[in-house]
Amino acid sequence: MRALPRPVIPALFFVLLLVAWQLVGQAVTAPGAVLIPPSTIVETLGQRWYALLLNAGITLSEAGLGFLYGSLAAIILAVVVDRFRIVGEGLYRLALVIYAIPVIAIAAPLTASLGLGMESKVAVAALSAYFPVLVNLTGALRTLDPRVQELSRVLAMGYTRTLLTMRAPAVVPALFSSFKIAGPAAFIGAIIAEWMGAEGGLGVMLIQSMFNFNVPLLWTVLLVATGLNGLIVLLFDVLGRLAAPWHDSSKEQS
Amino acid sequence: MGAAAAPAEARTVTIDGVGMDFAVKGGTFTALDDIALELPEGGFTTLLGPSGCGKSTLLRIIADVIEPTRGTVDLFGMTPRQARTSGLFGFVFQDPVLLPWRSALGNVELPLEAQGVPKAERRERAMAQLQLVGLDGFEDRLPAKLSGGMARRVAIARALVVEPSILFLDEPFNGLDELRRRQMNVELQRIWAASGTTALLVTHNVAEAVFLSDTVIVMGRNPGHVIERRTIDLPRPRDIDNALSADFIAHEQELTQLLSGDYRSVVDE
Ligand SMILES: Nc1ncnc2c1ncn2[C@@H]1O[C@H](COP(=O)(O)OP(=O)(O)OP(=O)(O)O)[C@@H](O)[C@H]1O
Ligand SMILES: [Mg+2]
Repeated sequence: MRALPRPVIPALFFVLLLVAWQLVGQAVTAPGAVLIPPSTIVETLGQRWYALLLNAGITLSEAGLGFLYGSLAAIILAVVVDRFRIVGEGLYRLALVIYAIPVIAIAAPLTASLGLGMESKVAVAALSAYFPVLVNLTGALRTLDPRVQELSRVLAMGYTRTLLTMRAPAVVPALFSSFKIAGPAAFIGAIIAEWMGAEGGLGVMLIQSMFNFNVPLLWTVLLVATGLNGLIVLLFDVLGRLAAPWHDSSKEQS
Repeated sequence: MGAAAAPAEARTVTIDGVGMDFAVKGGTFTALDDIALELPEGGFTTLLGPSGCGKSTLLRIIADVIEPTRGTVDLFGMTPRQARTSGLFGFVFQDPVLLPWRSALGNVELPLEAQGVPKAERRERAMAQLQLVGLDGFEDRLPAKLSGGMARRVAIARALVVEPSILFLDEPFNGLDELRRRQMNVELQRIWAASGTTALLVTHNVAEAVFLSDTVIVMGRNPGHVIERRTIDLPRPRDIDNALSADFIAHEQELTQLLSGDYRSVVDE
């Protein structure tokens, strides 16, 4: 009884929305109209699928690499903050300040200094991704059950062993929920960096279709980007469940 | 883990002048004051006292989980830190504190991992302990799928698996039904007698204290202090029927009297 309505109602709503969109889009037929009917988008998708695939691949690999570097740096930093409170506190503050700079503002100088190649995009993606991971992980490590700390003390476990066997597994769920924010952030970061100038990518496609008043393509690229973002969230959601299967059942209990 | 060899002459756990102040809002709170105790090696001692009299705090101090504000603790000639890092302790906390991602077996294996015991031996010893607490067949269950009483028994198995020289038990049988509690009391007596470990138990249950102990320390609160130290000279091994003997009931009554005396004094304030 409980499981059925959950996916059905949003799906129905979604279908209704699509139908309404199609009808309104067909009614407003002026060239360059803001609202493009879904059928036109599907058409564009069919015509330009190869370019879309190619550019999505470019943006995804930039975002993927950036995500990797960004979260790796964040994980290392979170452990340093945890291990060395005083040094860590300073580094943590610095990380907060860096994140306060808007991505757009940092993308321009980074592109200027790193060039139009992949490096500048990866750098911006990494800068977008590190922060959610750092904040979530630091918070999770800080609020761990103090009784577990007592257990590790009684068992005379050193810092590293305690981290690996007791604390790291406990923060895996928090890590994966931070990935669900950091993944899309890296993807959007890569697109923004492409706006500053690049040889390819969904960001370039967006800019070009905008300057050419190619509204159907603009919408199609937007939709592809949104869909990919959703897939990234879904991917980390599934991975998180696989990595910490014990977590959900314990949440249901409390 | 090379256990530092303790000098042969010092065979007690000696607690002397121990006090504990906690920093609280607007000053300090004295949880324990001037505690002096002597636990003979291989003996079974129980701390009995009302809630909040500092029993758990005292256990934590002896096991070097926290450091006392005043006083000294000597464990068979070692400092608490030396004893702890030599792997001599088994500790059953007031809550089970199991790692939720590890099976019952994995949780019991944890202390052996910390001591670097090889995998096959770890498995074997952990299985034997689970069997001892009546959990064979449940070794693959995750803690979320165990009942409260089962989780407690896993925690007890985890404490026993290292064959500790000192076993700390902080209300280990809370949440077990009365029958299971009595069974576990009998089991614990057997395990303790067979292992020669020094046991320090915290409980609210007077019958349990009399059944298990050589010595019962009655504590009072505000601040936590020792009211009386009582020797239980009933013959061993004790079984459940002994709990009906006149001597047993006399001990029980007198301890209850001592405890209610403390309750009364708190109410009178
Ligand atoms: N970290 C702490 N900070 C401040 N006060 C504390 C702290 N730990 C314990 N206390 C206080 O010290 C007193 C003794 O606590 P303790 O947990 O040792 O009592 P207990 O005898 O074990 O009680 P119970 O039978 O309910 O477990 C309590 O009043 C408690 O509030
Ligand atoms: Mg307690």
